[in-house]
Amino acid sequence: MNLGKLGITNQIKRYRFENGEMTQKELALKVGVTRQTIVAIENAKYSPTLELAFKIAEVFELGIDDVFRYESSK
Amino acid sequence: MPLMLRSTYLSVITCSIIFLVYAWWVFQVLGVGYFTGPDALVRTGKAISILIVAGFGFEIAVQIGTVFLRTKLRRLTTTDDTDELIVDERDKQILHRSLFVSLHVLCAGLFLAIFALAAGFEAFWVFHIIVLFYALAVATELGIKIFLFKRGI
Repeated sequence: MNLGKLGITNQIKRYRFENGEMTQKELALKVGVTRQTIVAIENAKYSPTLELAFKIAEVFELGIDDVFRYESSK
Repeated sequence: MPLMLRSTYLSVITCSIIFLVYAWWVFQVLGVGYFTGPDALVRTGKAISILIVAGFGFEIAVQIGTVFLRTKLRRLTTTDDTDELIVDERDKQILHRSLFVSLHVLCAGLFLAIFALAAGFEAFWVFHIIVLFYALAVATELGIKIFLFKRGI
């Protein structure tokens, strides 16, 4: 999923389903944000802070670069 | 619905009521020359003071009343909207961006009021330029919040 101009992609939706079809709400509660924020991240409408990105990766027991990737425009 | 978005929608209603009632009252008393004469400055000050105290009082009462009512309703229903009480990093970023823009609108009003004072406008108009731009700043803040909540940030 592309985060617009930033070129940041994320695999949150994929990992949610691979982790027992975790709902957006469950993930939101685990990382301490609202469900709307998770929706916004998944739909490339919000770029999370580094702290939140680490928390999300931690929920899936993965590294941050497995969940989020930066694709340079160069 | 997140806490901040609900609070924003409520503010749209309360601020509309507050400023419309004030504008209606001002236009009523303007017709009878309430803001003219030697007491004009004191009367203008009193009117704006009442707007500030009553406006903030009404806004705070409505916001607290709504939270209280919502809490009561949550107890009666078995809803699991636990995340609706969270104010997270995205909410805070939206708040900061909206306040940043609205602050500039308010500053524009202050500068304009000073220019109006230098140009020899009456106290009533000078102070009401500030009131008008404060209302515009509030409208800008609420509009940006709703826009960013819907479109994303």
